[in-house]
Amino acid sequence: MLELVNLSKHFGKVKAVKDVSFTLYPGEVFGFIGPNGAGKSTTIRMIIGALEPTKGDILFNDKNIKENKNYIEKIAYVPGDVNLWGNLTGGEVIDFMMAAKGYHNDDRKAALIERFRLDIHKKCKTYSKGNKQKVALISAFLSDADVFIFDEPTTGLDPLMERVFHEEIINLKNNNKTVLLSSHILSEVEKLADRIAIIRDGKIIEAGTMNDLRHITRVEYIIETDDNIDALKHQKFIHDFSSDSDGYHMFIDNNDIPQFLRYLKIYNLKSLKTTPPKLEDIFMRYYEDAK
Amino acid sequence: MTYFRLIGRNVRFQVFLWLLILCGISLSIPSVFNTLYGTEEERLGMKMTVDNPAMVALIGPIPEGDYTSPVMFAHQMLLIMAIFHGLFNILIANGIGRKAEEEGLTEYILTTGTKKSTIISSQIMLGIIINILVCFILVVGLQLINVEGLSLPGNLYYALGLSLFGLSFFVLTLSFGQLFQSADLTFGLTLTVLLALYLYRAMTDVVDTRFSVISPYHWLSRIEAYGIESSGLWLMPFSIVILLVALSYVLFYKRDLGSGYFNIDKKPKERKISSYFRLAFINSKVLMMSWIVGLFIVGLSYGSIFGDLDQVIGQNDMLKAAFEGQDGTMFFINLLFIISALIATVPALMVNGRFLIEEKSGRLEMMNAATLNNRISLTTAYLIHWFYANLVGILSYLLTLVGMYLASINVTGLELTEVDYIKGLINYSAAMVFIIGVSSLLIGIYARLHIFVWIYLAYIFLVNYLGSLIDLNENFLKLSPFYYLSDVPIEGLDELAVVIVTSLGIVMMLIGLICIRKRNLL
Repeated sequence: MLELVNLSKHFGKVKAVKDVSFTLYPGEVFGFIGPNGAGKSTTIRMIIGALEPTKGDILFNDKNIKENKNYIEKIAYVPGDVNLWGNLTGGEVIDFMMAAKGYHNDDRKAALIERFRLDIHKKCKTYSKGNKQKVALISAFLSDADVFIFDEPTTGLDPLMERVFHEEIINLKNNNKTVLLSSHILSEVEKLADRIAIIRDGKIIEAGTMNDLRHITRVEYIIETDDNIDALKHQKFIHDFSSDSDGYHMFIDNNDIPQFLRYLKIYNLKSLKTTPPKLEDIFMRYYEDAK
Repeated sequence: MTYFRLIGRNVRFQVFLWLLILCGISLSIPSVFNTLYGTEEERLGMKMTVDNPAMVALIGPIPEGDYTSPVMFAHQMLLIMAIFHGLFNILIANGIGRKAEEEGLTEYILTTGTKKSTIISSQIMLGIIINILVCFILVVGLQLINVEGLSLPGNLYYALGLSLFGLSFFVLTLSFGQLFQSADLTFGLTLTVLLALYLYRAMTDVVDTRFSVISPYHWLSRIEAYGIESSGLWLMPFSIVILLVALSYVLFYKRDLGSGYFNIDKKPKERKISSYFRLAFINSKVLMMSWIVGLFIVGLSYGSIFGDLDQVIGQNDMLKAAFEGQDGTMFFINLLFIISALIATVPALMVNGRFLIEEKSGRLEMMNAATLNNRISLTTAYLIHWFYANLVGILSYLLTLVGMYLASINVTGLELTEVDYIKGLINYSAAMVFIIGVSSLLIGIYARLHIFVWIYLAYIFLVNYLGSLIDLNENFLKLSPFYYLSDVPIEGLDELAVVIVTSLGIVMMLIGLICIRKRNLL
């Protein structure tokens, strides 16, 4: 549906995006995460046509967007920091967005406005950050777009509205739409995304499904035992060893797990627990590597 | 709804208000002039009054032919109104152009499928529609006024002149908005062009009008709206608008959104800021410096014509008689003293107004909550802004006077002494403190009321400007602090008036202080 091929963006000497490539398919939610200043917004702005790539191509439905300028009509976008026209009401902005996209379903509009609990009769300059976001979100959902791009969509929303948003995303997925979700709320990305790409310093450092990503990180094991495990502590495959009321905590690289488990056989364990790595752990690993 | 209607709706009220005020002023003048200068003799007297370098600098050269009411109206109002129409257009254009882009709105619109070409065309179209409205209102309004000589062609020339002038600055702002990355810079530069062209013309009109040709203000003078030989030819140079339109179009199309063609990327040096006193200074530094320097230059340009003033009035028996023995030169210098004080009040009000920006953005509450022992309280911030307002006002005024003094230092026969300048400074600074007091009082009562101090300032300006030309009803003048102060340098300094006016200013500030501690922050 949407393909980025070796996309780069240079601002003078600063290389904000370096050789970024990924593909989005219909019916999937693609998580796009990275530290602040990594190049997420720049990449997104190239996709929506606000910036001209320095190198590389963007293909929409296998056609280069430079030749097919109308691709933007099939994209719905929610910006990271929503600013609206102060003297217009929320309703007027939503109506404009609908008219611009040629979308005419008033029932759906009323339903969404109610779901998101937005008072559309107030002027945008009186809206809080969350309400402005709601306007942008509702406007995005009221379209026949094929690709939906969300940049930090839920930062100002309360948990109830966050859930409404999540439900709408699943709705989109079920209708075979494509969603590009850029968010710092890793639990949200982990919950919704089918595939994830991690960008840092302008480059994609990792991409794949959660399962793929889990393989390249460390797994946490929690052991309870009365034995002296000094020998275990100092093994080279043990990382971040600590001890608390739950027992001994240690992190093992995926590749080393067979060796670790063999090692454990020599001990009398009272309990052995493991948790699959959270996206946060994966993310922090890359973030810490940078330091 | 289209993008065009979207941005139109957003500025609807603002535009309505400006149109009401600007066209209202233009339309109210012809009858006033006609009533007060009903006879040809009176008008001839007025013509003589304005036939001197100081007035030529202010309103342009005397048009040929009879000085009828309409001719007088166009001659005296066109250039001043042009400045305001220019300002109006700059504000609207910057708002929908670079400012909207800075806020990410233009990018947002782009994602709805609106094409770049539509965006820039809509912006330009909005400028055209607004100025067509200006033209229409003025023509129709003028036609309806029952004053002899307000012919249709004349009215058209007046209205077209102002609307084309306004449109030029609208499109210029859009073009500058393409070049520069910040909305503030764009506004500052276009405003500078607006005022610089006026000042340039002021100087060249006095020296040799052939040099004035570069300035659009001069084109307006040369149209001679109601004269015998009105020349629509002088509307032609405004076709520069077409060039500017093409320029904005091309520049917008080619660039990345959010960027400009001139990107200024200076690395700022680290500063140690540990008090609001210093913070407020740093935030207002550029504003204060530029106005102080600007006003010094204004002072210089005023002072440079003192020499000619003296000559012209000295030689003219009729003018001498008109002033009934009073010194005409001194009269004009007094007018300049007053106008300079009013202009110096502008940066003062801007600096005081910054308090409201701190309030609205939430930074005021943040500072208040973040500091120990209430170190940066509402009172602190309020007083500091008031202090800097007075500082920049008085300093700017001082430098205007210094400029006038330096430029006229070699003029012989001028009865203006250094002491007169000092008296002027003290006298009219009192008026400034008063107006700043009004500003602080309004801030204290309710943030949104502050706009009225600008209306008040404009009112005082108009009243003094018109008051010098026509016999305005005294009651209008009573609302201005200048009424109560003596007319330096014509009269001596009235110390009591100075003390009272200044004290009133301070008292108003104090009342505002009490109010602000009680009211809800916005």
